Amino acid sequence: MIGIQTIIGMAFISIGLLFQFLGALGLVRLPDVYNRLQAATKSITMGAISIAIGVGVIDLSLLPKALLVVIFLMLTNPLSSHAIARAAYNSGVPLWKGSVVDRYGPALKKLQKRRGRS
Amino acid sequence: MVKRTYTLLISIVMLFIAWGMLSSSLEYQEWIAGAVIALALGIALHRLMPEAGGGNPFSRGLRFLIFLIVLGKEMVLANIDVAYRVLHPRMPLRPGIVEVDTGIKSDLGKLFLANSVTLTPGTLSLDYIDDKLYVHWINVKGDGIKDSIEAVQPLRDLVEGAFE
Repeated sequence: MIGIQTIIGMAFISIGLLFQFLGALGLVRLPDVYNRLQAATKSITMGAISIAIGVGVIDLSLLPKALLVVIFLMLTNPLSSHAIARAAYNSGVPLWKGSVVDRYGPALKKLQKRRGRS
Repeated sequence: MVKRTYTLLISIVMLFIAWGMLSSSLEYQEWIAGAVIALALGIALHRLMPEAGGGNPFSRGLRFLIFLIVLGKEMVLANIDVAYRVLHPRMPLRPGIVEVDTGIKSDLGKLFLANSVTLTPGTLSLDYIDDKLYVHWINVKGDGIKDSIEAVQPLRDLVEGAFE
């Protein structure tokens, strides 16, 4: 019979899948690179963590490894999205036309000027 | 010198814990091999690790634990926020890049702040220039210049408590 452990694990995996789906939907619907990255990073990190924990709950001998995977995901996933966003800005991808404020462009220009002089 | 020894100890213990989690067995041979490898790697690589901060390690550990709990809560909130924005028919967005003077100086603190800001609702860290963090904020409050510190609260205070 299906035990309570399997049910809890399956619940974690289902929640993870739901978040993954929402992240993918955000990638399609949102207007520019930065907004899309926001949706993608948060949902996909959380979804992957949830799936890893679900697998760990179903098979308890995998739980330590799953927790290690969770730690690495939390450390590396934001780093990669941060690198993509920064690379996108530096290669001239514009912000969405509805954006309110951009303080990064002027600061970047100032930095480049200072580097060019020194 | 004391600080370096402390960093060395921490890196060895962390490597040993990672080994234990990966092997996840109770065979004593595994643990002996893990101890030897963790010791060798720790001595070889501890110079690459960021230096441990001062203060009482136990209270810092406790603060780090509180930070992790709040981070978990914020991650769940962030996902609900994303779901709301994505599923809403008109998509309520007010995006912009704001400049945040975080006041956090240590390397480890900066890393954790930038990483956790990306996982909290509506914010994505872009870059550090001159100790100022540039954050893409999906729902800018006001003109985005005066109250920009709000983008990184409440995690900024917790990071300051745990790493500064």
